[in-house]
Amino acid sequence: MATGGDITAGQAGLWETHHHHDTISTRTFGFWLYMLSDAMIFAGLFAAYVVLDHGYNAAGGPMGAALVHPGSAYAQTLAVFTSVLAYGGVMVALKRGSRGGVLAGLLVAAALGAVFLGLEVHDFIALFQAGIVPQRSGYLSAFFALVMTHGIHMAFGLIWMLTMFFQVAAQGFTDKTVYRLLNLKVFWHFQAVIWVLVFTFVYMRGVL
Amino acid sequence: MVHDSHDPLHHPEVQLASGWGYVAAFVVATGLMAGVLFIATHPGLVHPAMAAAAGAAAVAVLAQLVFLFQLNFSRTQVWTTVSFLLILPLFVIAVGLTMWMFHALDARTMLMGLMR
Repeated sequence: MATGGDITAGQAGLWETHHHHDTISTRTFGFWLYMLSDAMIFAGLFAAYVVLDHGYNAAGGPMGAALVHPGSAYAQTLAVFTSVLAYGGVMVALKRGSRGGVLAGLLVAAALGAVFLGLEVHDFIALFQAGIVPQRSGYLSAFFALVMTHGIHMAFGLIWMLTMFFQVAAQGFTDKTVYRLLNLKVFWHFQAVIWVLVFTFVYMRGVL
Repeated sequence: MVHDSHDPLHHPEVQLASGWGYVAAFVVATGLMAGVLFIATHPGLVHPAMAAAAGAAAVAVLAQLVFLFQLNFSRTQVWTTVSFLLILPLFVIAVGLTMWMFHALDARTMLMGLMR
């Protein structure tokens, strides 16, 4: 085996003559792997919900159709999807180098995300006032754990968007702001995928 | 995972952005979720209703993966796509095996099984 000094002298030059380190790709791929592990958290929550989605686990309490109005659930769907579309606008503006477009897109996406959270909180408050709370039954624990975990992700996404708004406004498009915008894209689009599953297998399955 | 430009806006992942792709994902997912809503509120019209709704959800997710995440086997996206394909079975196994195990448990030991 060669000595450490030989390796440093011989290989540093080789490395430097080929490529500079791609910070953006490294960090976006690392964040993508993190989001895949986040998906496994949702896998656990969906599994728990499906297991507990039985009248026996409701302990005489409400289930499915009693928890959500289908129209309200679809309104939340539209809010999530339009917010994701607006963030797509952020990506298109970034590609064109338009700082104003990125800032406007971030504000629109955040506003629509806030609409989603407002609708969800409104529904939850109505449920709580009716005595439908997470500790009421195993079924409700699983229901609220799953839906609220998605809601907390959405709230975190809003904070991230507002942070990016000020960072892009102050710093423009640097390596750091660009990879953070790309990571936020993955995070925000991931919420739309999870929402398709929540809407179909929690809300609409409960209505059926 | 490498590129030679120092302008972050020229990065291949930035250049992946596609307005038409984002619109396509929005239209497909919104339309299919409207279909799921219709199926749920008119369960007698489509049979079996839950299978139809699950199929619509699967297509919507697929459209989002292709148009939003732009999963494909291009040089830029190949490892993103491969890592997703490797974790997808884990997701299905985690949910599917849990359902199967508790189904077996319910049928043999729980009060639910005795009630059937």
